[in-house]
Amino acid sequence: MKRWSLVISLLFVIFACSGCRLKSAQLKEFTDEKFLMDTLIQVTVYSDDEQRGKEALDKAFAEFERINNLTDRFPKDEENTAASSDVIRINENAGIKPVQVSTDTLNIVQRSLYYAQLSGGSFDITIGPIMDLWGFGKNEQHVPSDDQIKKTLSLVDYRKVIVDPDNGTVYLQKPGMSLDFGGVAKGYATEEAAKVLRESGIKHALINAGGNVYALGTKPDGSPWRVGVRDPRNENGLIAVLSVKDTSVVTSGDYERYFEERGVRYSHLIDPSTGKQARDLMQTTVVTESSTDADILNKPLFVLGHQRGMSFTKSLQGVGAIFVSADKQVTFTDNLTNQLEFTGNGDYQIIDQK
Amino acid sequence: MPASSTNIIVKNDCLVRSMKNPNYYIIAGLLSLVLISFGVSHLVQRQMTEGDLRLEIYTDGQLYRKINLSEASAEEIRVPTKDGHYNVVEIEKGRARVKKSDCPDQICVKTGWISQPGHIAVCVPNKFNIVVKGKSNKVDTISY
Amino acid sequence: MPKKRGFDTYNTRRITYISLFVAMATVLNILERTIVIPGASPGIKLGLANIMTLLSIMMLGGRDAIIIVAVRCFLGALAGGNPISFLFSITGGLLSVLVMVIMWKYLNKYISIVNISMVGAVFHNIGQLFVASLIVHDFSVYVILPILMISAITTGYFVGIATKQLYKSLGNRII
Repeated sequence: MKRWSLVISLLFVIFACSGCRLKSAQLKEFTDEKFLMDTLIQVTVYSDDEQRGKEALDKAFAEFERINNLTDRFPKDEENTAASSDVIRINENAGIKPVQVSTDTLNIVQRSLYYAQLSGGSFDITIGPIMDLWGFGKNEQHVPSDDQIKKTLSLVDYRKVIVDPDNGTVYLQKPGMSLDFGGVAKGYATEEAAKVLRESGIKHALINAGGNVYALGTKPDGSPWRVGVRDPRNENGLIAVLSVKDTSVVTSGDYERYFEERGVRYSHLIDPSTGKQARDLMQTTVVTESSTDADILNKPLFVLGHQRGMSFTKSLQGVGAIFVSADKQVTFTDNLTNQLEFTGNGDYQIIDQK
Repeated sequence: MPASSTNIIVKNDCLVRSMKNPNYYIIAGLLSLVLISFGVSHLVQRQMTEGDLRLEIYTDGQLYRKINLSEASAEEIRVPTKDGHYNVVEIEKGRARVKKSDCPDQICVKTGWISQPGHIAVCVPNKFNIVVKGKSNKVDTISY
Repeated sequence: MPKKRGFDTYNTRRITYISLFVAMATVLNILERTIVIPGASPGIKLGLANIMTLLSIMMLGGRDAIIIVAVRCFLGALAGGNPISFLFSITGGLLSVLVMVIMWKYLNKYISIVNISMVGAVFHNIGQLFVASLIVHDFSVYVILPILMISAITTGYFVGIATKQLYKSLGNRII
């Protein structure tokens, strides 16, 4: 006992003295941005090793490229992408035959169908024909007639998507059906990119894929990442700030892709059951660990509106949401209370649950 | 005597003995001290992080000036002390520092830039110090 | 030999011991400046010199222990140059030695040396933090209270054990 405690005391003093030098492992910031998936993708990583940092960045962007090629319905570079784009091949073979696809596409489809079912069809990746009708994908936007909408709606039905996990195939039962991954591709790509960053040993990073945010770990100083939520009616302002770590924050709003005809705004957020815009909300924000889920969930929440959207969110595990209604009222789930700070800007009325 | 009852007697005796031993009270006291210190620290932090990000300059214990750091533009402030000494504070958006001082040890200048609520730069010879208080509104990225 | 304390027994032996203790305490005081506690302003130190403080309480008695603390703070400040750190170390040092002297005198039989050392270390750091709060006229320094208390208790523990062993190896003598 005598020798032990003396040794321990000595070790303690030596350890304490050397401890003060450990602070010098400095983390450096490496950041890059690329235009992909029709939007600006920014990735920032922190590493004490320059090579590791730069490699991690390259790998992350490679993931975005990869997923982009699988899910892009309207590739700019027709020749190259058409061959590798799973979604194009699935759509071309609608009503004809099942198509073999990559594991990633399979995952995306399965996750999407899961939430389609859970939300009673408020989210539906078979919305392709409707999106085309409105002209959103090809930038030829116009307001279609009710008749046209009604006819096209018959092609929208997630239940007619047959997935065979054993053979790795996806089959659209009716000819004319088409899948649109616009509501899930960015989220999935972000999640894959984050995985790759983790595998590269990165402990602090921030990904922003066109507003689709993933906060990996904490900031280098140990504090949580601060993610601002944009003010739906002021592109230079924020309505709230979320403090998060290892979490994804994704926002959908009627200000992202829209066109105006005769003074009415028509956004790209369409209710699969009516084929028309959902108008109860201006903006939804989903906060959850999986970036894929966060991306997907914005759609049914937006369509369901703030009341049914709130109940739907509460039925899910580990998901938080913020709803901004068209009348500028803001509601949010309880589980976000400790991480959410409202800026007080923009004349929004924050509704307290209690 | 059956083994079990001997055990009970031994256990009771141990408990009684430790209750009487003041050493354990000291240890209990120290542990509660640690818990209380967490409470105090939390209270102090809460009080410090209210309001916008601002810098408070104190001379001789009195508040000399309050400056909003979130909307600040670059400026320098020369703060005189009673016995003819001075400190120069440099302000930038979101942070501040003691740029120059006529004190012998220059600890205040060596502290460098401070930007987090609660951080201080002190010049004891000149009885001068600056404190950052309030909430920092800066965000790292925006979800839109 | 009768064991007497106080003015009448300041023989050569005793003075030599006191000088040795002062020297060692001063060295420890200077050494502990290399260890920085995160978030604590310059001046708030671990309290390694308490090994000598405690030892002098046990071997030389309360009065001399207090003198040793005062002298080592003064010498430490001379060697370190900083009048502010002198303020920190003397406040912490005196507060902790007073508490430890009282505990040793009256509670020696009931409380172990290690525990006394832990309490002493806690008061040492509380004294220093209090000085810091006076200097900035602000309670905000108390933010570091938890980590300070934890480091004080840990240091106190090891200081106590080291003192115990030293006392034993010096033959449990009272000078």
